[in-house]
Amino acid sequence: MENQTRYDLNAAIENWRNELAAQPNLASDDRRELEIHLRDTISELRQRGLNDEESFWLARHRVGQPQKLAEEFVKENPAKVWRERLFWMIIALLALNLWGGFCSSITALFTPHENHTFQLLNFLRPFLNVSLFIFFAVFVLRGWTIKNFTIKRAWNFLFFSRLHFVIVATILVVAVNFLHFVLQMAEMQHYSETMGAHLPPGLGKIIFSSYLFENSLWPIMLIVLAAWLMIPQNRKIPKHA
Amino acid sequence: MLTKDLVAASSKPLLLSILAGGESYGYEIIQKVRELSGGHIEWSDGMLYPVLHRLERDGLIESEWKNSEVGRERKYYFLSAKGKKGLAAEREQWLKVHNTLCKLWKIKPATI
Repeated sequence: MENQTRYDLNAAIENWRNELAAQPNLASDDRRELEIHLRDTISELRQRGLNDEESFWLARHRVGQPQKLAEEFVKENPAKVWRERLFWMIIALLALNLWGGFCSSITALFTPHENHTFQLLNFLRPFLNVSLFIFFAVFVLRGWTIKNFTIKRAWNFLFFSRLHFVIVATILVVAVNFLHFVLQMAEMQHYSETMGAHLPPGLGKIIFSSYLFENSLWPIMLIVLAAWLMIPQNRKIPKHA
Repeated sequence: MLTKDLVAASSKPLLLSILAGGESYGYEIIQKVRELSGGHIEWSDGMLYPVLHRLERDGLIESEWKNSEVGRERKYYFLSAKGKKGLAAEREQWLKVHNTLCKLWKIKPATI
């Protein structure tokens, strides 16, 4: 009987969080700060003897209307929320670039050997490319929650500091492009051999520089831009453990 | 109760002075202000953060996410070197206003 009428505090907080997330002018960092404030207030009220429902509603009232909150926050720093949006757009572009390179590499990998596999993969390539989009869309719709602990750790590592981010992302971009280059060269070699011709001696260098400047340069520029827009997290190990 | 304008104007010296006593987070700051003012200065909880963020952007305070003793992650704010100077300047200005008013009202001014 008691279970039936029990107030679900976690669900209430989750609802409140969604309401806050619906405000376009609040950055994720601000929302996190406000949620912790709400939780602190609830804890205090419960200690004073209020039940879950009463604590939640009073805390909610104290913290303020999500819409009003958002107005105050945007007044303080109108550019902040755009900075964050731009940052995620750039990260998405970077991820798409990496994924595109990765998909091309997979196709190139099978090219010289299996003609049928090649055709199949070439046919699948657009779907592979789109799959990342779908992944991102689902990710965003789920409210950016990463349940898997290892992904979360990798994520935290990547965005730990600007230096971490620049190093890891640059290594990824260069590695993917280099792999793509090597496979493309192998593919060309294979074709010229089957046709009984030799590749012109300087071709490798030309293709390599094209990979360096065309394929790697702009993602690296994106990395620099993202690092500049990034808000450092400063998440340190707790002092009092 | 203070007027809205006075609450807004006094938030800066109050926040800098509280943080001069050591790092703190939003919830704790509000509690402290309520307690010290005897309930006369009532800040609305959600409005505090934009003020803190503005001070941070001005370089007067800095912030850091840290785990607290109870395991809850909180954003702690602390005074920067620039903030110490800013606090001294605020203090001087507020005492000037205070002393002038005291003279006008013929009350004994507070010691500087």
